[in-house]
Amino acid sequence: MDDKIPLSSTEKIRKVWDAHLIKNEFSAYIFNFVLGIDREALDRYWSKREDITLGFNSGFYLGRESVYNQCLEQAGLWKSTGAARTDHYLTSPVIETDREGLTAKAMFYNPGVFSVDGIPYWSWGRYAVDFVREDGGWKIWHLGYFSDFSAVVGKKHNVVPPERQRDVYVEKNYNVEPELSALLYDPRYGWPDMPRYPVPFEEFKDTYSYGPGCFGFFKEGDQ
Amino acid sequence: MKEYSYDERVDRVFAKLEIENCMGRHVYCHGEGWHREEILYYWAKPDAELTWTNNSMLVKGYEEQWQSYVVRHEEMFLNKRLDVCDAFPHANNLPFRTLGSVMMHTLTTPVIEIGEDGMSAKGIFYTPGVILDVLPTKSGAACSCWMWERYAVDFIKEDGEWRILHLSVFTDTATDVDNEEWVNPLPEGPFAGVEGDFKPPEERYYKRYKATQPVQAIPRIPEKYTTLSETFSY
Repeated sequence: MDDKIPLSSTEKIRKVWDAHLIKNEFSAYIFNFVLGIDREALDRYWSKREDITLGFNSGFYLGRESVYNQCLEQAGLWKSTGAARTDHYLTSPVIETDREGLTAKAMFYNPGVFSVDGIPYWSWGRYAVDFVREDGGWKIWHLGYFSDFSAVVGKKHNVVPPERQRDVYVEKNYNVEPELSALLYDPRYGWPDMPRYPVPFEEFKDTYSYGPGCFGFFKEGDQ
Repeated sequence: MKEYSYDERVDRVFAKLEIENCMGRHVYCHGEGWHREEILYYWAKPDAELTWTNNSMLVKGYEEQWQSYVVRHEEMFLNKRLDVCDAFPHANNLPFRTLGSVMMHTLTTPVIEIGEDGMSAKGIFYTPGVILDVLPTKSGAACSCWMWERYAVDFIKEDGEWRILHLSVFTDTATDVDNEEWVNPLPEGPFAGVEGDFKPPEERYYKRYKATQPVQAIPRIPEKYTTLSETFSY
């Protein structure tokens, strides 16, 4: 840290502006997502890179078709029943961009809610996102949503129906699965260490990715 | 009011981003129980007169804070881990550091004011949060509590980095998540009453919400100021 060249005013104001753009873009993505996102909107927010990833507590989707299929499947699920509802909110931002303004990392906390079959659940967890600059804007590169708990509203967190004790969204067809099978809240032993918050970095190669491996205990070779 | 140059204005708006990031790192560290790295990297260095307070507790100085925030919590996490592993032996293989606990406080509603000298800042935030345990505590059932609080923070700039100097936590609500009457706080347990031996002066006490509690105009909202020594402290 100490031997870095101090940031110029131009670099500082670019970081501030980029943080603003990233907040706006990701908030817009979340609004789109909870309303039931379509392929056109996915193209609007996700990078054109082929190594995009979508992660949850219990696994990761790798590549465009796998990521998009999962997003569209969720959107279809929500649209297919009037009883389903998800609201996510973004709080607690930590946003870091690299020196050149080419990549960025962000973390937000979501104290949200969703409902299934008329039963309301809390949905508290963190978004951990890597962004890449494309066509003058910021696009999602690696997106992780890591849940802390999704208890029934009005009940203690450890009163969770068995079918909700794993990731509520996805249970199947992961491209990468962690070595440990129960990474979401488990009433026996709780929660795993979560991915780390962003810290300052000069280039993306100097920091960690929010793709597979961000928990730090995936099977060797999965990264 | 001071007229700022272009570079000074850039420094001030960049400081706001860095202060938000610093405070964000605090809540993620606290949420995971990573208190050691939080104190080392995001709090003022040992020679500063740092403080941490809540409704009924004042911790003053680096040594007291290290004992209270780092050592005490690490002992608590270790005991919790031993309890969990005793009950569920396979948990011995799990790499979780804070096995069985979440202490997540979100950050909303920021008001951030940077001193004219650019060397300190004051911020307040509203933080709806939760404290969750897996196993019963000594006081009874496992903690499953809402913690809705106000944060008031003084920051200082040390070696080019923004760090926490004073952090005050004002708890409005600490109640079980299945309690339908939030006016009734937890009667017992780890968040009730006076905690520890670090009692603040009477005027620093903050009382939780209940139906008969008058509104408390605490914390004071940040105002424009010159240097930290010339304004009020959190």
